[in-house]
Amino acid sequence: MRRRNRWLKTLFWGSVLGVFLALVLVFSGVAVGALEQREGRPVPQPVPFSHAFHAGGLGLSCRYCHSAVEYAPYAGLPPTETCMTCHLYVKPDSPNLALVRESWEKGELLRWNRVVNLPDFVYFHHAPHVAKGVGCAECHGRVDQMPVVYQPKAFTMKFCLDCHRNPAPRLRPREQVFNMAYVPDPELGRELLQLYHVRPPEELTSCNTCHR
Amino acid sequence: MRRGPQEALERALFREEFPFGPVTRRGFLALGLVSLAACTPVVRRKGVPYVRQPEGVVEGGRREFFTALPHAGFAEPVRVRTYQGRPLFLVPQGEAMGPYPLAGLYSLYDPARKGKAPDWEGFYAAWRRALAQGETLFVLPRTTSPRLEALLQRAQARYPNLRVARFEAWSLENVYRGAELAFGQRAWPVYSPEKAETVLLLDVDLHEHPAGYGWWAALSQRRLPPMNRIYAVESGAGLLGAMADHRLALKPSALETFLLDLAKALGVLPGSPASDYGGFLPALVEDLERGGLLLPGVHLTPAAQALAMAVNARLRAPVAYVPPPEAEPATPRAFLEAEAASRLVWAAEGPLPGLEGKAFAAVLSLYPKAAPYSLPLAHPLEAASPARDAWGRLWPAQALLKPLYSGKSLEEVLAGLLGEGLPGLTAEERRALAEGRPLEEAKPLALEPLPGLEGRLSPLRREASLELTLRPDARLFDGRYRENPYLQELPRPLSLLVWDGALLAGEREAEAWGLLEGIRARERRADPRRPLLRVRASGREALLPLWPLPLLPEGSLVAPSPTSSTPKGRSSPRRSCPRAATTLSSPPSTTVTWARWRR
Repeated sequence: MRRRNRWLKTLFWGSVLGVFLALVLVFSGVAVGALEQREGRPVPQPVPFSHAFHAGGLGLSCRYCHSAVEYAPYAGLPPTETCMTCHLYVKPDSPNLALVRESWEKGELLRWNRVVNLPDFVYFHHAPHVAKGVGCAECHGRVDQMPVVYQPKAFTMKFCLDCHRNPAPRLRPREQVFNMAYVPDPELGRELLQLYHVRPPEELTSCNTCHR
Repeated sequence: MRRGPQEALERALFREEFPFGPVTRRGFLALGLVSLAACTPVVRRKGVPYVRQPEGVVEGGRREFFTALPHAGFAEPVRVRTYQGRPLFLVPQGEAMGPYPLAGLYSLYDPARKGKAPDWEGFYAAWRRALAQGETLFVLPRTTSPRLEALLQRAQARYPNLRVARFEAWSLENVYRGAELAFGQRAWPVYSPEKAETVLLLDVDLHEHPAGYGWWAALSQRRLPPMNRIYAVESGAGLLGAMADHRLALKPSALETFLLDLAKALGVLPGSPASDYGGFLPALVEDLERGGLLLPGVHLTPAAQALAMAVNARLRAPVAYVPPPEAEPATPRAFLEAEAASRLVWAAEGPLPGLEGKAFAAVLSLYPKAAPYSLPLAHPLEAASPARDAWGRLWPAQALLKPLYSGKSLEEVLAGLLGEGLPGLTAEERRALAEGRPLEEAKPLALEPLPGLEGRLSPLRREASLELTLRPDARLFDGRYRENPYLQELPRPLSLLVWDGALLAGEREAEAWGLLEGIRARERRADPRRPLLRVRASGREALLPLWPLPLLPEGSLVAPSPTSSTPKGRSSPRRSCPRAATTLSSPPSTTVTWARWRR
C-alpha cells in the first residue's frame, strides 16, 4: 500500500511539476527567443561584410542597402545585385567576396544571419519611425563603428516603452535620421513632437500599438 | 504516522536522485529553472535577399499600380494595392466605382478556377482543323478594345471561315439604333449630369448603365446648394430613382408613352400630350426648360431612345456623342446562333449553349466548364488589354501578376491562333499607366438631329396588363458574378434580398392574386418562405418567389436576369410542381401562375 502510494505521489507531483515547467516555458517566451537578449554579441556572417568600412569609412547611406526602410515594416537586405554594382569593379577578385560572386554567377541566394529578431507577437514598422524622426542609431547604435554588427541594446518591452512614454528626447529632424553621429537635442525634440504630429503617450503605449 | 506530501517528496524522491548529493524539492525546482536559462535556444533566423530584386518590389510593403478592369466590356480605371506582389485591394481612380472590380478579387484567388492543366497548343491545332473544315463561330462577350478588333480582323483575313458573334444578355443595341433613328448614324451618348440643373431619370439604375455609378457621383455632387432637381419616371425601383425629388411609377409601356407626351409637350413632336400625369408633366417641362437632361435606360425601345435624344437636343442638354465603343453590338441573339452553329468557340459570359452534336466545341471561361475543350481565360489582373469606358475614353491596363492557372486573355488567344506574340506595353502606354490617365480622350461626333422624326419612329413598347422586364441584378449583374460570394452576400438595394433573386411586383398585384395577406402574415412571424410563382413569358417559363415591393407601379413585374434568363439554367421549372390552381390575369405576353409556397 505504502509502495503504491509512493508511486502515485511521484506521478502526481511529477505531473504538477511538468505542467508548471511547461507553463514557465510558454510564458517565458523561450520558444520565440525572448530570453536571448543577445546584447553586444557580434553575429557572425557568411560574408565578412564590415559596416564600419562601408557605412563609416565610405559613408554609404543606410538606404543604399536597406532600401525599404522608409516604406515597409522590414528595412530589407540588399540583393546580391547591389553588392555587385560596385564589386564588379572594386576588388573583383577578393577571396572575402567569393560567396557573393558565386551567388551572382549561379543565382544562388545569400543566407545572412539576422541580427535582430523581434518576437512574432510584436508589430513593428520601420516607416513611421523614420517618418517621425527616430534615428537609426537610436535602436541600432553606431552601426558605422561596428566591423561585425551586433545588437547594442536588448529589444525588450521596456526598451520600446521607455521611448513610447517619452519620445521627445529621442527625436531628431528627418534629414538627420540616417546620420549616425547626430546627438538628439531634447529641446528641439519637444518642438519636433508637435511638428511631426507624434501621437500622445497614452496612444503610443496602448497595447495594440505593438501587439495587434 | 501520517506523512505529508512535501516530506514524502523531499525525503523519498530527491535525496538519492542526483550523484552530487541530496537536493531538496525547492532546490530541484531552482535547478530546473537555471537549466532552462542555460538551454535557451539560439534562434538564428536567416535573412535571404534576392539575387536580382525585381523592379518595384518592396519587401513587406505596399505598392499601388494603376490599371483598368473591365466590367461587361467597359473599363473601370482603378488603382490596385499590392502587398508583397499580391493584389489585395482596389480603389477607384475616378469618383466612383461599381462593386464588381473589387469583388472580382475573389475570383482572382478562387481555387475553383483550377481545372486540368490546359493544352493550349492542342486547342489551337484543333481550332485550325475546324476552321479548315468549315465555318466556325467564335462568340465573344462585349469588347471595347481596339487591339482586339485589329487582331480579329487579321484572324478573319487569315481564316475566312472564322465568323464572329458577340453575346451579351444586357444589350446596348437599342441605344445605337435609337441614335440611328435620331441622327442617321450609330452613336453612343456621353452624358454630363453634373452640368444639368434638372435631370430626368427614365427607368435607369446604377448598375444598369455602364456609366451609372459615375452618374451617381455626378448627381450627388450637385445635391448641395445650389442643388439640381431630380425627377424619376420608372417601372422598377432603384437607387438612382431613390435620389429623386419627384418620382412617377409607370409600367414599361406607359413610361414610353410618357416620353412621347414629354416630347410633344416640349415641341419635339407635333401634337399635344394625352395626359398631364396629375400635374407631373407641366412641372417637369417647366424645370427641364431651365437646363435639363434626360438619362434614359438602355433597355428602352429604339424609338424611345431616339425620342430621348431628340428631347436632349431640343433642351441643349450636356450630352456628347461618341462612336459606339463596341465594333459590333453584343446581343442576346448570338446565343441562338451559337446553338445552331456546328463548330463553336464560346468565350462569352452567361449561360452555356448546348454543345452536344457539334463537330467542334470549345469553351473559354474563367472557371472550368464541362466541354470537349475547356480552356481557362485569365483574370483581368493577370492579363490586361486596353479598353474604353462608358465616357468613350481609352484606358491602358497592365497585368499585375502571372496567370495563376495558365489562363490567357482573349487577345492572347487570338494571337495564339495566328501564331503570333502580343507586343509589350508601348512607351506611351507606360507613361499613361504611370500617370494614371487615359491613353486617348473621347472624340465627340458632331451630330445634328434629322428632321421628321415622327415619320421614322418605330413602334414603342406594346401595352399589356402585366409587363415583365428582365433586368440585371444589382449584385450578380446578368449572372456572370453568380459564383462570387462577396456579391451574393451583398444585400440588393431596397428589397434587401441576399443570395437569391425574386420576382418583384407591386403590392396591388400581390393583393389581387390573394397572396399579400399570407406574405404579410409570414413576415410578422419572420418566416422567410414566399409563394413560388410560375412566370411564363414569350414561350419561356421560370419558377420565381414573389417579393412585393411597394414602389412598383401596377402592372409592372421585374425579375433579375440571372435567375430567369437562363434558357437551360438552374431555375428550369420542369420539376413535378403541382399544377396551378388558378391562372391569374393572362395577357398575351406574360402569365403568372401560383405554384406553391416555397419550402
